[in-house]
Amino acid sequence: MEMSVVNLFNQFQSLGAHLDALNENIEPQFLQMAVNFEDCRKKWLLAGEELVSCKEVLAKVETERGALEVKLKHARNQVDVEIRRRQKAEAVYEKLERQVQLIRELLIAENNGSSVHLSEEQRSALAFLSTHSQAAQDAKTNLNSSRRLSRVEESISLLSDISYDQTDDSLDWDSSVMKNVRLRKRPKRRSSRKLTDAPPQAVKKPRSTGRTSERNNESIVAKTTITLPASGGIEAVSTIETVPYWTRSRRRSALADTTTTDHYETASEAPSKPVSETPVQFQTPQIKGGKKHHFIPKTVIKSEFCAPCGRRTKFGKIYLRCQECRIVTHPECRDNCPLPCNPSALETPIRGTETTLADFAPTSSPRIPALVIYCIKEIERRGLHEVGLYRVSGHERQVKELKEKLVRGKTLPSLNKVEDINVITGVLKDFLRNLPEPLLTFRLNKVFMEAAEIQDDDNSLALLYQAISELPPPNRDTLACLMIHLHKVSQSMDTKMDVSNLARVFGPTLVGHAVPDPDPMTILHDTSRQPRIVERLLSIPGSYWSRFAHPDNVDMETPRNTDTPSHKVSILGPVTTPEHQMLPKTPSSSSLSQRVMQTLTSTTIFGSKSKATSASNRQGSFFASPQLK
Amino acid sequence: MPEQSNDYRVVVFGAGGVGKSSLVLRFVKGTFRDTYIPTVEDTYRQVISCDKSVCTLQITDTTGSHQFPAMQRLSISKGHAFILVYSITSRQSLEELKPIYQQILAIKGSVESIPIMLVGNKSDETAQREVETKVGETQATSWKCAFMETSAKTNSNVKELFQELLALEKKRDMSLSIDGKRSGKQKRADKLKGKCSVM
Repeated sequence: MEMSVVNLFNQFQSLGAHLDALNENIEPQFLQMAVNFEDCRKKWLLAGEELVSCKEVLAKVETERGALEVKLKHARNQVDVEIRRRQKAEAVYEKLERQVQLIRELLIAENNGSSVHLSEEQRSALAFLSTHSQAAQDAKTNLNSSRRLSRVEESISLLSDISYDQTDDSLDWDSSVMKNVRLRKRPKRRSSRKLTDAPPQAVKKPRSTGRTSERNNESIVAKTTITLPASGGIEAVSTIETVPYWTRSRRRSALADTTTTDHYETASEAPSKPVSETPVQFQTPQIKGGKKHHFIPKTVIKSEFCAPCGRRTKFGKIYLRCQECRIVTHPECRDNCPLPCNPSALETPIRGTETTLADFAPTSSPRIPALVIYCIKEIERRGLHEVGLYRVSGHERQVKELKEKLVRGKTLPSLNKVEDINVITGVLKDFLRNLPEPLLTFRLNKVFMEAAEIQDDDNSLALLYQAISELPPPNRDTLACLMIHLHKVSQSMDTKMDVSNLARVFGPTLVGHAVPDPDPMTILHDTSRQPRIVERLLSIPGSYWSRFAHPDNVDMETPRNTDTPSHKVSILGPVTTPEHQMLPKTPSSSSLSQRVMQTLTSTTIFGSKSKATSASNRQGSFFASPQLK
Repeated sequence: MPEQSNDYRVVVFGAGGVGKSSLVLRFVKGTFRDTYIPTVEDTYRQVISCDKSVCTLQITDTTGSHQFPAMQRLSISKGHAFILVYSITSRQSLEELKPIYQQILAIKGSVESIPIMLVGNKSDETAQREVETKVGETQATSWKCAFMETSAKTNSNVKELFQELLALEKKRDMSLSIDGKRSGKQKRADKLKGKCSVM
């Protein structure tokens, strides 16, 4: 018993000792824990407070953003209104202009007909006319040309560092620049050849005789070259050559040039302006399509196919070959040659794999490969009623052969010899698909993809515009040309290829992937998104594209007459260019899409465009113009 | 691939506009649309019976305006069976199939064990026929594959086409009707019964 008690006691004591040992450390630990808890609590508190403040800031910013958005919307609306007003004014302007021009034409014709040798009278009459036309422009159209011009000039000089050639753009205020170009281009080339004889001739010719002889020569086949040594350092070299081939258009241009002469000598109030009277150019009846061919006659030794008619040139006969694009034609077919002349890099592609689009494209604008233009021309000529155009594929071998001919051949094979239109579409698709880099480039692939993903039309388009502006010029011009063409195809019901169908077909062809060798997953992923991009691109109006595809409107190669009185299309050139430049900087680009588009549709200088863009000196000049009306 | 055991992939090839999608849609949905919409790539699934259990028949409808060989190679390497469609109204569309066949041959090594159907679609458009049935048959013999003329529009031979294709697969025992052949049999039985009762 005792023993057990002792035993128990011992046990109890040992337990107590254990307990003590355990209790010994617990208190400080508890304390530490309590402290930790307290720390933690404080931190939480702090975090909570921070959160609240952050939320407040966020809310504030959000409301600010809302306010700004509303403002933006207002601004946009205003811009819209302005643009619409401007367009209206522009339309009225154009109409009146045309009327004045008509009167001018009549008067000039009368003058020439009745008073052949009365140079003084004539001159005075014409002087009156030209002043009148200017006055009319100023007064009737509510567009103060001089004021506006100076404004534009400002902006141009400000932006002159941009890749586009502003000074060139600014030349061609009138919508008929293409014609303008033609009038000038040829003389330019020719002048080099005829430099020796032209100036003396020009000097010799009294103003009126020059003019009258021109008129008289109209019916006769004659060759009259007039060079106008312009005052004020402007080489308004308007050489006129009435050659049997250039029948109507030539004569017209001659007329145009004569009026210029008159203007020069009589209306000396504008000595520094190489005023090539715009109204005159309106009437130049030339086919749209841009640059003309530069034919030189040759004797046939090796028979070749005439591009327009497809027949062979016969041995020993004369045929014409364009020096620039090497197109071959019968003299009588020359008017049917596809325009514009594409100074082709046809033969340039170096043998080897790495040929980019730029290698196929000519160096002058529009930088569209000749192959693309010829295929499109032919497809538009006879393919617009073909069911499944671009969908149905042509014979693979024929496609390969034709492509080879087009890419490597020295001369252009005449496409009307190709029976199956699907072979031609195949060539075009194959060409675009097998470029080392897709048309929309690897670099911008992602940008385009993202742009097309955006649900909001405006934002999406704005991003697209931006991406397009970043494309290399050959790609951009070619894309523009294609888009215009595909518009036409989609509008032709017979093809059954509406926009979405074309987009499906052209998605992989144009967009491609972001890397040269995509893995299968990327392919699958991209395939569904590619058509969306093309569809978006096709939703951009043709007027936007035509600026790239037919930049003859905004010609970049004639650095003469820096300010023609009439200002219509090409104003776009300088104005939209800054736009592209500014795009990346703009915080919200959504409004840009509309703006860019509208500029292009309205074909006027576009003042308010820079409204939303970051503040700059330009704004003033841009802004003011819409209010000029 | 884990799905391999359960998925049977059929890939439909052919030139643009020959009616690949129409065939597939007719088979899968039983409808025919007269619209003209090119396909980028669509995949349809249907449950069929296979080796006394069910598996998914996956029909890949490819683009006809053949774009990138990479895509084609991918489809071929993934596919178990192939339907090569041409239009009897276009000789060209038959020509178009040749490179595709070569491609299949190159990727699969041999076509011996691979079910391939050569299909002349649009058999209803006899007026515009450019490819005689004989030509198709000859082509099929030289390719060692089966041949059939179909019309998605009039629904002729469409179901048969797929049936035959599945019958060509020797590695598995497959049939179109789900729930084994039971449902088919039942239907037939029902029909018979119906007739009986009338009698």
